[in-house]
Amino acid sequence: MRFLVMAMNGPTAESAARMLEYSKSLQKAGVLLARDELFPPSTGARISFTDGRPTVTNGPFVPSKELLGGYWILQVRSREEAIEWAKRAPLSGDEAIEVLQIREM
Amino acid sequence: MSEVHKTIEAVWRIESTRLIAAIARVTHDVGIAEELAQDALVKALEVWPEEGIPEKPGAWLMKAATRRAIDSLRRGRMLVKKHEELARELEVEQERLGEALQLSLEQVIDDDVLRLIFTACHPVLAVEGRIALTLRLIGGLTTTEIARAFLVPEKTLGQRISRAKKTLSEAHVPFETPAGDELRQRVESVLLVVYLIFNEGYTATSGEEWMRAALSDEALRLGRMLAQLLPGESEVQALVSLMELQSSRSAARRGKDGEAVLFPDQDRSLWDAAQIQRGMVALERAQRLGGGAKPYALQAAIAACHMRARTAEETDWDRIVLLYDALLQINPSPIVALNRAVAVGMAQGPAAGLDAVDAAAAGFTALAGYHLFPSVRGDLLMKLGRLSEAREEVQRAIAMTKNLREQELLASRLKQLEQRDNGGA
Repeated sequence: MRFLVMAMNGPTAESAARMLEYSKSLQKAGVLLARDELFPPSTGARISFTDGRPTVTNGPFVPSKELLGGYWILQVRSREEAIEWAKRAPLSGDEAIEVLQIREM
Repeated sequence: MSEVHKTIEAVWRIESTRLIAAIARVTHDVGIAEELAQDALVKALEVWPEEGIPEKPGAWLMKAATRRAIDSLRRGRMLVKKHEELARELEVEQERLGEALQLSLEQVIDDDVLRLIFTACHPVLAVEGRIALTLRLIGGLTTTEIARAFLVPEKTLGQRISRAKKTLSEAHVPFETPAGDELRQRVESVLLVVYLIFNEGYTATSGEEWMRAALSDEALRLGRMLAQLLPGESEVQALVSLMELQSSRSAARRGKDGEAVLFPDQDRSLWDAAQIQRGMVALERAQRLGGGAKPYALQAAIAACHMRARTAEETDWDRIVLLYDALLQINPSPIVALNRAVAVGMAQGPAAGLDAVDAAAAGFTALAGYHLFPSVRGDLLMKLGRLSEAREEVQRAIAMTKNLREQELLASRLKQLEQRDNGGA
């Protein structure tokens, strides 16, 4: 089964190296299918819909507490395994990681 | 299973390989290393449900295994094959071994994991022993799970694993990464084991359904691991590519009622595009490493030809024939010859295909005993309009296969043939 592991907030300059090492450990264990880091929301856009009509707002958006900073897609054998991998991420402070199972066809 | 036990299982899956590899570096005996690691797991199963999962479960397991190793050594029960002098001077040396273990456990290196894989896939073992040991030591699967996957009694599988460990120990197989000419052969053995695990899951000859899917996924994981550990080996990349490309079709291989859907009839929109992409990238890497003409790379290139075609009709069969020609030269086998004949039939028409099949059977007498031989002949004869001959071949194929799903497929083809035959009469 596949899981989307999302890191809220991207890595900082000082945590980037540790993050890379973490990704490397996922890769060495053979569980990493894909990973990406995202640009901060200041360069992004939000498309909100009113009655089905889209309105585009350029970033940064109205303070939203948690924003996706990067993600990993893992192939593992259980939800617990995905969680165990997520627990090994080198985060500090008040950061968070979310683990969601990917629906298979 | 309780929440804690599921977590322990997950931790075991993540940590066990490195744990066993680190211990084996010191003990030089994979069997002993695995037992010490198992002891640590038993300890965790005792303690964690009471005290909770430790913050660093990997380190906890390593410490438990070290303690256990030193205990066993103190009691003089541990056999250290490569250090018989140590065993003789146990009093003096036990502390030093304890320290070595501690140090090894603190700094597991990738090479240890690689050594463990090479040892589990050592040619001194029977192939089924290699498979079982690999799934146990590197896959982190339990004996029960492996037994269920291969539909053998648990006891048989347990014996298979103990026998493999004993063989390694008795043959004094060194815990090392082979070098030079030996490396190539040993890599071949590892890749064979991984591909056999994949095929056991993918071609579904026995075992429980979900466990077989787990086997294919595990083979893919092992392949990705190896690609990291042996980045210069083109055939590792090629095997990863082959497995990714084959399993990208999984969702399209079954119809609504679970019936098998043959390759040309598959709904190509169900193929997993991300997986195909990964497969193509791995194939490109293999080719860039200069291994484009090696066996797995050729098989992956054939699979890639199929995947690139938007419809079955658009398949570049001429190129596939060429790739099979190359494969047949380096890997002359009846199956390759038969597959080549099928490709010739698609590229040059059923008459040329039939000639190629019969030439293949003349070159490889073993083909006559293989159900796909009459099945392919029947298909080509049908296309040539030689319906009664075709029927005989399909009937023969049905009698030769034990696989239920294939029997069903062949039976439906027979029915088709009979309808056409009657319609024509």
